[in-house]
Amino acid sequence: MAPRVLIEAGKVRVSKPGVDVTATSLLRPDELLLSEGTQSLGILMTGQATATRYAEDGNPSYNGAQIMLPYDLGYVPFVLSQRVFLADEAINTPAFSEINRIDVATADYGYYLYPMTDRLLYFKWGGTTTDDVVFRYVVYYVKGG
Amino acid sequence: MVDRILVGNIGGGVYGIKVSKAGIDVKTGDDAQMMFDSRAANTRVIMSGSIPTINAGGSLGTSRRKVDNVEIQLPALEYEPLVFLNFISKTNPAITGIPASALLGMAWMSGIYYVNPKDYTDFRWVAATNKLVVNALCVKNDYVDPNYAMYVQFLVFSNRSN
Repeated sequence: MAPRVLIEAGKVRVSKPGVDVTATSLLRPDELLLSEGTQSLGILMTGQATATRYAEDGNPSYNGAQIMLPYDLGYVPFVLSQRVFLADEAINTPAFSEINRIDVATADYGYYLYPMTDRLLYFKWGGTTTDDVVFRYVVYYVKGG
Repeated sequence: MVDRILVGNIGGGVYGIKVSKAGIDVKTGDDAQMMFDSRAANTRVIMSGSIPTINAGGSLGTSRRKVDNVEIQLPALEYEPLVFLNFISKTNPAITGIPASALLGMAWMSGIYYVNPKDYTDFRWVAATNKLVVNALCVKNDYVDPNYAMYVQFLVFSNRSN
């Protein structure tokens, strides 16, 4: 059985199953589950929310959704988000999509995500005839840059 | 206080390490309640940073920003890594209902459909030098500060790109 945990001066590593941790190298970080000098993609928060219809009144205002983070991180985190297609929507089956803007029967569906240091900011694209948009999100601890 | 770290036989004759989330007993929690499980594949960030943009010029003047063939030196790797790019800006102080001049990311860029070419971020990895070469283009829409330069942020993951 290959050794998989290594703790020594300057090194903390756990290798993938079947990989000898003493033979690993940071040239091949995908062989490791845990290693010094790299940050794990820990999850801060997940959830599902709704961005309401955006009333385009010609003035720069906001009418969407704000999801507060548990606390101000002090940096913009990495966030993945997908739109939730409900059973009665265009494709007739529950699903998730990375598409942020589509045209369905001449109606304009879309939303945009702005991650901030203390919240997620969503707003919709389109006029008063479009419906609310449901989406899910995963907020990671990772700093974007 | 519950046990949260298990090292050794973690079940089914498999030897490894499990770490549970706060409040969860590592011996009884299910997979979704684990922070770390040595049986599972995972992803780590090996490098991150941001790239300043420059004025793209053209018909949209200073409201469009770009990155042109900027090289980022990565640590030595034997394969092309997975990379994520997007723009970072600040909120427009004129917009009501959100914090003024706060830092924010632009996950799908401006969303302005009528510009040409469309907003984009792209990169290529040069194996010989372990460098990323980044190009990007984005319009400042009404929600971002017109006086803020914008940056392209990047995350380099431990996964292979393919």
